[in-house]
Amino acid sequence: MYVELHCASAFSFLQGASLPEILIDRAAELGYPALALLDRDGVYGAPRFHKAALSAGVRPIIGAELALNLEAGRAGRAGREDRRGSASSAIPPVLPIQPIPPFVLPVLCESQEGYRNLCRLVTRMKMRAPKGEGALTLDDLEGATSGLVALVGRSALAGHQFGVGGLVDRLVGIFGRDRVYVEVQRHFRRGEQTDNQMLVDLASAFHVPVVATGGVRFATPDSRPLFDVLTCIHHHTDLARAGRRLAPNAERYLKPPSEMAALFADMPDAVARTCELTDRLQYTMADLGYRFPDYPVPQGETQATFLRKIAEVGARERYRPYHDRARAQIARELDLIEKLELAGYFLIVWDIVNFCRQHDILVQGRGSAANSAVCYSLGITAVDPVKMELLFERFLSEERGEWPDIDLDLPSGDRRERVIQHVYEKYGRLGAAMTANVITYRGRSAAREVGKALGIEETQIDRLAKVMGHFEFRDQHDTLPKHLSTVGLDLDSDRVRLFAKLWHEMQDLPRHLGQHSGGMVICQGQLDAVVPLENATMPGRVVVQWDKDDCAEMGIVKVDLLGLGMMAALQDALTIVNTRQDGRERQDGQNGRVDLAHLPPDDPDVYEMLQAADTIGLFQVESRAQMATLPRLKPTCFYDIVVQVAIIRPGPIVGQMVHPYLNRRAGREPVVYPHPSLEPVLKRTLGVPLFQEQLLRIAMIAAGFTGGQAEDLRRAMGFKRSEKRMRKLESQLREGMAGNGIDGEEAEKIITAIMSFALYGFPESHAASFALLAYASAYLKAHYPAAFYCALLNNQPMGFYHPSTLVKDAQRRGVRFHPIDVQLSDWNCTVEEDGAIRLGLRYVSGLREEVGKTIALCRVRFSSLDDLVNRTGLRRAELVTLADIGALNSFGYDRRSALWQAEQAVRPAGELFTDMTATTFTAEHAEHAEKLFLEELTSASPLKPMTEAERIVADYAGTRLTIGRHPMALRRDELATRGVSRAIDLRTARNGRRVRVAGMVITRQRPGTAKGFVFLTLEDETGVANIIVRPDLFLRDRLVITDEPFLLVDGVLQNQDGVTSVRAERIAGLHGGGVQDVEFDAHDFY
Amino acid sequence: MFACVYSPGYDDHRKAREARKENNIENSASSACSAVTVVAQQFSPRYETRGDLVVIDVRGLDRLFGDARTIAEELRREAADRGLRVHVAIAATQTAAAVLAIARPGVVVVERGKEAEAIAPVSLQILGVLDVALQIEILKRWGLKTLGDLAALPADELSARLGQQGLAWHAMARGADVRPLVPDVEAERFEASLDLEWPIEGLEPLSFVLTRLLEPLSLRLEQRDRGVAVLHVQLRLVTKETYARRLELPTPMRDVKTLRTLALLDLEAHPPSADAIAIDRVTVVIDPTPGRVWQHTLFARPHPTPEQLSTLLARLGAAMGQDRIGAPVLLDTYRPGAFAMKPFATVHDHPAHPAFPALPASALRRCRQPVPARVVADADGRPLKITSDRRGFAGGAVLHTSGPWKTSGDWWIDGPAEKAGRAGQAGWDRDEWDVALSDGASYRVFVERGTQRWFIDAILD
Repeated sequence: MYVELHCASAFSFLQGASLPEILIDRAAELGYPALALLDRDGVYGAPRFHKAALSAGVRPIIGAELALNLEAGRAGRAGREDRRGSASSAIPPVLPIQPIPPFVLPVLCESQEGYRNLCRLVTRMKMRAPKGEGALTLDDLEGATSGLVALVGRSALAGHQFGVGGLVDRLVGIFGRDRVYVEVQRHFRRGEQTDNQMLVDLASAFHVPVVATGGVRFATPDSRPLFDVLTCIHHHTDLARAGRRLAPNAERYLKPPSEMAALFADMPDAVARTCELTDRLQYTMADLGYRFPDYPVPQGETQATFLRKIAEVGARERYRPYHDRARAQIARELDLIEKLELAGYFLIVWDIVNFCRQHDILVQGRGSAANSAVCYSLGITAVDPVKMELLFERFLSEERGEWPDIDLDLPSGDRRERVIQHVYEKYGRLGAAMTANVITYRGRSAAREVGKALGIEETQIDRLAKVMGHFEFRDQHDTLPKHLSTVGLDLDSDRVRLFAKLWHEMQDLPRHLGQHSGGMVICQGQLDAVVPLENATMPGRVVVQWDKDDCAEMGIVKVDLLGLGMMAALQDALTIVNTRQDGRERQDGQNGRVDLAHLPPDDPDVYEMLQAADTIGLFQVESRAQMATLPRLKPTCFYDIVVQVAIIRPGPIVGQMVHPYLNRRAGREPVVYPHPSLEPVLKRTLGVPLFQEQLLRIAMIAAGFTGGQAEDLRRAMGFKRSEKRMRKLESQLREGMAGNGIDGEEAEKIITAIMSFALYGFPESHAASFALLAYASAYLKAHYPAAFYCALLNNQPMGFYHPSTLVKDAQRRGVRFHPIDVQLSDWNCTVEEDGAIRLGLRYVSGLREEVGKTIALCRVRFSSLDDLVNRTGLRRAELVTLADIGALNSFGYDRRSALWQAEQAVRPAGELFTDMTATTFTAEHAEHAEKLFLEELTSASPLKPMTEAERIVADYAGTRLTIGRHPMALRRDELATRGVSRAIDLRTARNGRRVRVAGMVITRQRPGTAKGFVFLTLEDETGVANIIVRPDLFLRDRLVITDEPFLLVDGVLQNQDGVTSVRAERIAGLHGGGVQDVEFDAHDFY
Repeated sequence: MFACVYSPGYDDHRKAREARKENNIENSASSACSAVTVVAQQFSPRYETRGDLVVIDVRGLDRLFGDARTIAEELRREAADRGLRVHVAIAATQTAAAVLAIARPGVVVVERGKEAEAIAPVSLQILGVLDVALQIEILKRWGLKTLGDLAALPADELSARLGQQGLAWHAMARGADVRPLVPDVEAERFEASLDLEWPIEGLEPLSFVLTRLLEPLSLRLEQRDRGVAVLHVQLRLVTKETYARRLELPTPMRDVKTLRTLALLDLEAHPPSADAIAIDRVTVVIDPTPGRVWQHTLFARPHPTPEQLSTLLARLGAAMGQDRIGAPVLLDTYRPGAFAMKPFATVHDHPAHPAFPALPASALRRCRQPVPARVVADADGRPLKITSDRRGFAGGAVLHTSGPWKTSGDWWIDGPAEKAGRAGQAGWDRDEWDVALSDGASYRVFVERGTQRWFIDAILD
């Protein structure tokens, strides 16, 4: 019998061509009892390998191939000796000293200690090298190999590096004689028999056993072409040039045990020894030795008792009065938390939240944690799950045996980074790390790489990559042959067929390791003993080698610290509101501080704004689809916002639940339930399931599932569906429903509802957390618009709209803006004493941040342009942009005069004036300069002042926005004569009327759920108009629609339930009128 | 007084000229001058080609043709006769003439002193055509649209902002010249042609004709210290077809005998079609290059001169085919026996200690074309008996085998060998065996895995 002990997967990143699951499936098919995975310099694929192996009944063995270099010291010594030698003998060296390439040492984990040592070794290797590089030295292995078994192969024959047998000798010394094996491989290559014989002789000389291995790189011989393509990518070359870097044959596949036995028929011991060694390698990843850190509690307390106490205190603060339902729920949760020994986890998250509070960083728990009353009491979440009747089992259940998942939303940018660095500092660089994000090959990247490897022309590759998955939407004709024919490739040709095959095989193969946006894992003790750590590209960040799903699978607890632009905007807006001297803008008559936690509930202005879909800039409810639903849903209470947040999601849209809900809400259709027993669950959503929690409850009520089973059902229907698991759960569901007397059509209806919805469903708790932010943003927009828009502008990019749209929306709400002025503007936008927003220097295109901040810090006014340039180091292009946008007008110029003077200010001064820098400027100089400046001002510029159209063009060119009139306003008279309606006029026009509208394109959307329809938003001086473009019209006028900044649209007006849109019939570009030069990039969502 | 001729389709002519240059027919007589330049040559030797337009010094032409308008009309007529539609402008300055020729169709004549006024309404963009360094963005930002706008700016202040360059633009905007006319000088051509009274056939008489053509050319080349980089030989056949050959030389040379020999060898290897070999006109055109400086040394081993080596290689090429001359080099591939021919290069400095690979213990004589064989194999594919119909390859029972060695590659090159891949071959996938036969011979044989056909690949000595 034979066991394969040397097998690499695609997680060796370009050095293996099969996913771990494929290798395991093949191993199970071939009857292997066990299989070892040795990926290059890591255990990246180990969790998936482990999971797949357990379900296939194959024992997983873990190891890795470690890159080893000669010791730096030794190489240095060798170099010095060579140089000395050459000097003494006076004979020049014949050949230059070549750097010795690293070699690979495969190691296998015999015990948990071995696994820990492996993780530590890999961490040591990775942490001292840039991302993607690194190698160990033999000295690194000293004392760090307990529990590891080394396989030494052909690298032992490199006598010029180690001397004859030197490597085996060193390894025996490091690992111990009983934990070194000499491996022999046969790939039907000439010369390998000689090497193998030498290896056998070496093994005999050092009394170490010989073991046969396959050196597997892919599951089946069919994968060899893909392996060659990956090799090309690895070496940055193509197949025609790769030469002998490609595989010499297709023999590195997982061979049947019998074939391996036959191949090594002359060395039966080497084959038999694989089984012996397998018996020794008893370590599986079932126990990683991971422990979540203990939270330090006061003396006499345990973590559980301490949690109870602070939860009690928090609950009394939160619940006023602290009613019985809340008390009972909290007690139930605390019992379960104690039983599952999760108190420490809650305390640590609570600690992070406290850090945020103490450092004035806004924080809010989201996701399923919002289902927990304990989290609410501890201040981790802001939604009351008892009042909202949220399902706790969605968060935590005894049956699942999993760690809960708490996600914290933080303001994006520096404040989130401070929290992350706090966690690193608190738990140590080797005690905390970000989770990884495995980047895989997808349509576009795979097309590019395969195309390059096959030597397809670069222009064709570019076109190919562009058409592969350019749009989110894929219709039935959106197939690979169609893409290929689009770029002029014929699927009948051999080369193109080969491209298609390889492109297909490459999908989902790992490409490289990225960093997850916010997932952090922390550990009691050393995390590097649990999973290898490595440097991220971003300085100061360390990542684990597993992604968040793998971490969860392996029982490693993750806390998501997610950055949310709106959190940052809200916090900034509140700071502005609370620090303004007298809060003169406030309309509510309150004199106290405005606090997010204590906003007045059910503010009528907020609901009025939402019902009118006046939601540009608001969190989650600002998109075109949301704005089209709001006037129909007409929110009147907080729960309506929760529904609104959740309803425009792929789940309800694909499940066709939006219209039934809206119709029932409008009384156009009766409220019915799939089964009477489900009425309590679906009553709040009028019989239409909208949330994941409802799905869980349906399963619990209709089929008698426990909370844990229901959560299992939800997960089984998630993105990574397993047919087998689905079938099992479906039959359980049917059985359960039959037991409750639900069968036939009713049962089918329920199952269909669950099936169609589960994939994209939205948790109610998550929607509630988001709804809170949506409410807060609406409240600030309604009552403190200047502060709100100012904060939004300072946190771009975020949200659905371009800053220019935000400015126009603010102006329509009466907010006034002051232009950028080098004498007055800060780097960020600010609200001035008169309540107007002063645009910040951050909006000057091409202005370096450090220069912008220096300008803002110079609180002493600049006396002249020369003074400005001398004190801030502005470059010519920056000064010209500032002049062009009117930021120098406070010197007494108009824009053109400023441009005229700016050109002179930045010209080299010549030798006479080189010493006249800011530091040597005396009072006398200053006086003289000012005199000259005044003379300069009085001399009129020979240039004509800009026209309004020119100013608008300059604004868009220099700041991407304008606070002047909208470009469309300049053309209004002319457009009116052409019968073009204003956006505001559409609201009052008759449904079905033919209309003509025109405007600047601010968004283009082609959502995956819209069957190829394209949605445009056109903006004019009165507001926005929504345009719906049929797929055939889009295909016909694609270039006009995607390239023209201004469009003229003829179509039919749809004006129903307060929602207006124009169904386009003819679309053309709008040219002329002086604003055709406006440079504006719409937000495109393809 | 300057006339400027601008052909709006001139770009196309230029592109065509560049295309011809790429195809190395730049020096052919018909393409030497562009049509617009030829028009200019008809009027004055003092003309300058500036990209798309030609500026001609027409001072004194009034005595030949009449007033400025008449000259302009003549220019236009001359161009029309050559199939060109051109704009013509005449002004006292080159700049004004150039601007107006580009901006205004037809014929424009400007009185002396009214240049600035005439060009004032023209768009500033035009300066971009005349001056590649124009920073049009600055001027656009200043709101300037026409040359008149620019001309209206005070020169001293413009100079303070844009320096000398700005002054130059300002002058141009006023129609003033910023540099004198630099007349084109025609490049010297090395070309000779001979019309034969009687058509000749065969290479021997051609040899005399070539010598007669090359000798004066060689003399001219020597006088100007030039050598031949490319030799063009054009033969007009009695069928009125022209047969042309192009011969690139490895080093500049001008030895008539060598040039003649190389040309003849090339024609021998690539003769005109068999049914029309009578020649009635021979033309030789030479692409010149700076001459070679040759310094002999006492310390280097004497070696053949480039002339000798080129002649030898040309002779070998004519006999064997050009692609079969050179030194064999191994290719970076696992394909058994793959090699390519690299052109010979004269290497004067050999490394002091070349690293020779260890010699194999036994010699392998590879069959350049694998020899088909009949093989009886066992269930594992191991050959038991090998025979071949090819003479010289005995067959017999296999006494010893070693293998199989599996090798495959170039899987992405599909189809037969003529589809070309590396070394002109398609992908391969084969199992190799080294066998010792009962008749004492040892072979390397292989079986193609796809077709299961056996071949003898090499003889092991």
